Amino acid sequence: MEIKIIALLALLLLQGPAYGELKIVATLAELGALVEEVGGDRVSVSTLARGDEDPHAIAAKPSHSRRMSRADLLVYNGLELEIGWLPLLIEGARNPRILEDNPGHLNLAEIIEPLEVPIHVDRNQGDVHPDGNPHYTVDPGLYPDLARALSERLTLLDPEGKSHYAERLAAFTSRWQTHMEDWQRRLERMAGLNVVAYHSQWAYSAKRFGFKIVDHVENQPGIPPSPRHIKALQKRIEREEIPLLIYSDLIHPETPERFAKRAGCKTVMLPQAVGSRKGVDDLTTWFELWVSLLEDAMKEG
Amino acid sequence: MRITILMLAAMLAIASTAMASSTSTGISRDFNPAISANSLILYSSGLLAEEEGGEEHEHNHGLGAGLFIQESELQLSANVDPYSKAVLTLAMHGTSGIELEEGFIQLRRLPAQLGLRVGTFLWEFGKHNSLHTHQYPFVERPHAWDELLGEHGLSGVALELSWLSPLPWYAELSGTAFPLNHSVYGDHADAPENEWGSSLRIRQLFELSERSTLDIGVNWLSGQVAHEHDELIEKGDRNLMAFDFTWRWIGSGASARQMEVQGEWIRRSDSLPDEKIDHDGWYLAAGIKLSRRFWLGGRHDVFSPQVEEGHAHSVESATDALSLAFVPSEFQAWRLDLMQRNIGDESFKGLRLQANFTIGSHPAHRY
Repeated sequence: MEIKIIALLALLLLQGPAYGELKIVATLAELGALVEEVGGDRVSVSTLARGDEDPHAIAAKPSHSRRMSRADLLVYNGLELEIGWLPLLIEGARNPRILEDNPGHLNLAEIIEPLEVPIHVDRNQGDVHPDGNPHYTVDPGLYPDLARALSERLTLLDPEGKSHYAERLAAFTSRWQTHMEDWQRRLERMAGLNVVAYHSQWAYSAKRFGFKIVDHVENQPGIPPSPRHIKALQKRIEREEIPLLIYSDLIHPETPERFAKRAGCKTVMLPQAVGSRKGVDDLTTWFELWVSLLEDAMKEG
Repeated sequence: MRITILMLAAMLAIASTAMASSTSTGISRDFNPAISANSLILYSSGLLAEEEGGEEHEHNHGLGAGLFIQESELQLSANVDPYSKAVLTLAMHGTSGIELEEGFIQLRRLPAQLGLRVGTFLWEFGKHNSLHTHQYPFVERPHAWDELLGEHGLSGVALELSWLSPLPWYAELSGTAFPLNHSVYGDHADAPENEWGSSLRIRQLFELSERSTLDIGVNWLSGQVAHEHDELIEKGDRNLMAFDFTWRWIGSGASARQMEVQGEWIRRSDSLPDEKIDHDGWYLAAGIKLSRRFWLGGRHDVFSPQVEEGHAHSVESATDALSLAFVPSEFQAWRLDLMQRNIGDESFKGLRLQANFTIGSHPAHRY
């Protein structure tokens, strides 16, 4: 009996990684969707944050560490978006392949140009991110670059799949270019428009489509707004006739809708990520809905 | 070629300017560890301590009724090199006396999902034991834990080897070896030297659904103990056995409603030449996140000492705590605890109001 138990333990201990498809863990749902676009059937993807969860505050479940313990590649957002949970999970995974400076560790923030990098940081500013606004995945225009970086990393880890990844990257880039032209045409009327946002998560989209976020309901990231700020913002919206308040479906609609009604502006609840609501299953359906909602708001005048 | 060299030289010049983020002494700050400091400010009604016959030193770290600094902690952590990480935690109870609460090095690149740490730290034994004071879900530890594990819990110099199994669910084994002369069992003047005790924890976590998990742990510890009887020291074996579970449900959205139920049971068995003494303790706690900023929780804990031949080795007690926490940000929490302790036929009440704040690097949140 003892020998059997020892043999079983030895088998479990010596069990190496299964060869074949690359095992990839992505922190965010949209990054997982991108991995599927580029990797296809040569990869298996596991996503940690669901689309309807706040990516700042994902529970560091040990079961996430277990998934990461077998991963060949960890793909994450960076810019300290996952600072409250990812370091613990990496530590718990005990997987040298996904440690920093290894090929299995991919911080996609390294290939983008961060916006809103603060000159001075202080907790008085709320949960501010010292390296810049981390919410770049809401800019569809960045995805060809993100896909390219991902394809290069997949090729490095799986050289035999080089042509597979190159073909999928080319197909994705071509399809995405068509989408981008369509989305930019449909949101032309947003260019130059003053908008109020609930949380500071749309800076990259605003830059891409040319609208201007002049203020936030949550004026300090991660800190619920004070009644004083709410009152001042309401007056500003009335005075400057700001037509639109945008917020994500992560926020309970009651507060922004009530506020917008008092201030006299329209609201649009945007899907915050792939999987944040029914029917938003991949990158295309996510941004298609995103654009449609804004387009409809513009049409309504 | 010449242009390339000039460009390279220009880039190096720019880089060296950027790297000059050093002190006036020329020593770079870039490799400084992450630093965070936490402090707990406590108002205590003190009723509970007064009624316990002057034992407030055991329960409140020297605090009676009034306003106090309960504890402050300074934590430094960084990668030592590509192979390891180190953590130093200095703790100050009240306003004087600094102790090294944790100081360990952890290897990061071991094969086969193995982990190793050595130094002084809070041992993995159940759920509550490995929490720092500022991580407690209530102002105080369960009273039974003070009685069974001592004021500082199971901690001290030790070597821990852990293994994450490749089973389809999360299953982790943690084994700790500790020298008896440094452990909580070695405080006695007559503690044996060059002898080791050990503990083992098996923790499993099951995902019941997308939003809920069940976390189960089984724990054993084997050490030694010395009892004083009629000015004679009796040495024997001390064994601990413990079981813990946590059920947790986490909702969606920014306010992310949460609910959790947690329980732990410990039996401490001392085998002395003439007698065997078993003490039990357990708690059952439940918490609910009411909104983005408010938590409500309750806990019932019981300490059941063995009574032998007409005398009690200690006094049986049961404590209830009701806690309301206001958490305005990740760096600050205010907690109001109402407590009632029943000792025999007597009942005592107490109130604790605690401010918990952290400055410095962003804290990571344990599950």
